[in-house]
Amino acid sequence: MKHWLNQHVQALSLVLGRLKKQWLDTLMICAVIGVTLAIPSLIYVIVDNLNGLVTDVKKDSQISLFLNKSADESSIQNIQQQLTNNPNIKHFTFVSKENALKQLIANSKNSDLIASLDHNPLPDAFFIEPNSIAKQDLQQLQESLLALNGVQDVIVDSEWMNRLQSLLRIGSQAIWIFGGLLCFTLVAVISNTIRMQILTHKDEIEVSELIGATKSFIRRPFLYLGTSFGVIGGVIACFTLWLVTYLFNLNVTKFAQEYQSSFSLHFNVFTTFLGMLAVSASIGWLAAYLAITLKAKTKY
Amino acid sequence: MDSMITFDQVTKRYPKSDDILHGVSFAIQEGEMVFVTGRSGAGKSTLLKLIAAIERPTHGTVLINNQNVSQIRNAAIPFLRRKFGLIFQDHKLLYDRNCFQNVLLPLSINGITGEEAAKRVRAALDKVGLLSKEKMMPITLSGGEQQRLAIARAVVSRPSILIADEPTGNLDSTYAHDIMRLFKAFHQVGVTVIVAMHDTSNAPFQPDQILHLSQGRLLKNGVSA
Repeated sequence: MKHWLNQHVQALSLVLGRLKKQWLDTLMICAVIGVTLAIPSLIYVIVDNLNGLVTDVKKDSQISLFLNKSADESSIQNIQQQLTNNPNIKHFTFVSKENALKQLIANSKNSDLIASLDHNPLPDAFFIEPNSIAKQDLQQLQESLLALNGVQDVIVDSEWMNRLQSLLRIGSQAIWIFGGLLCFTLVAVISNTIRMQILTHKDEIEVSELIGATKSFIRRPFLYLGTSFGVIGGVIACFTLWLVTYLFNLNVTKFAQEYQSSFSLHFNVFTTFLGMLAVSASIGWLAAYLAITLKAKTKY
Repeated sequence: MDSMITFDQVTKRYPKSDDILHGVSFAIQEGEMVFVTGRSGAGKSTLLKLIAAIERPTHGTVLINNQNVSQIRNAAIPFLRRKFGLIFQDHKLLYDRNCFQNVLLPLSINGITGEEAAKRVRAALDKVGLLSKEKMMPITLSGGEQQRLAIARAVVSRPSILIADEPTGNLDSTYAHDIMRLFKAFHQVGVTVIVAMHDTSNAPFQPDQILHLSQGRLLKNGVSA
């Protein structure tokens, strides 16, 4: 066990020494890895936050039910009764056409113009908060409300949100494909760097083999090298993600405040960074493993 | 008594070539000093490679401590090689590491580190007269010193067999005698020493056995006169 541990410590200290000695080359390759990993991570964070935003907005969405202009008091009471009995409705409010006009006049810049109209153009309306915001449930509720006597139109406010959410879903899938391609590129880049390192240490490998080094002894420094590239690249990716998110939030927060929103980009720092480091270290290890395995087949 | 190294009708042929060794048979006992002689291309290096399990025979049997080299698994070869100290004509030193680090390499491979390793490295360097140059880079040493450094690396892990392939080939006679005397010293403490060389006329002492090769065949096998 001590022997095994000694060899790992030796390999790691050898690699760290080499990385320090060639710090500029190390920094360059790690920066490539870091930025390459940061790009899909950042897009993922943006899409994930937008998804959360859409879900939040959808939760607040409501159904607007407009009555016929000719609807009388008994029709309104009848609809009100049916809405009360409907199990799919959480809550609803009634706004009479008179109140709606008053609100319109109060909120409009052209209040004089609206006040001068000889008749009220607005209908009586119910604003309904459904129990479920699932697309199918909303569609069913919309159909059942349209069938009520005296109802002119039923508008589901979250329709555009559904479209946006579908687009975001496609975006999420695209990120995985894009991320996968970038990971493949990283494996190729790191693998190539490791192959160059193998060529640089060709004599050392040859001598080590001749004096009794096992395959794992020869592989170990290169596996540590690839993993180190991955880990340092991962740290750069985490920092890049944090920095870009921070700078992005400086502007986005101000913009969101103008729309009475508290939206900002956020992510679970611990799990995201841990995940990114695990992915980048794995990519580095895999790239080194492939490089050394392929090179071993041609006797280094 | 079982021999330490036994060759029985060993033939070695590389792809698309004639036999490099043909029907070679001999035995080396533990603690012997053996010279392998012959002209360039006679098969001396191939014979040493077969002993060190760097190559495997095409036909015949090579036994090292009763282990058949042809039947050893690839994964076990490194452990067999650790029993040998190998010395090459071109030294095969690592020129990006200093003398100390070069000699340390076999110990690192064996997982020996720290004080124990440093002690053994310095003892090996002292034995070949290079202790004062432990921090120097090999490129700054003379040819003879580089070969002595290679010998220090070969003996640091206390091998039971020392194999040297033309260790004095690039050295003048003074350095060559120094190197040969070092081999004699190791032989005297019980190490089996096998040295390949063009001719034995410049050797400062007689070996226990001379294996003379010519065009891949063993011409002379026995105790020298």
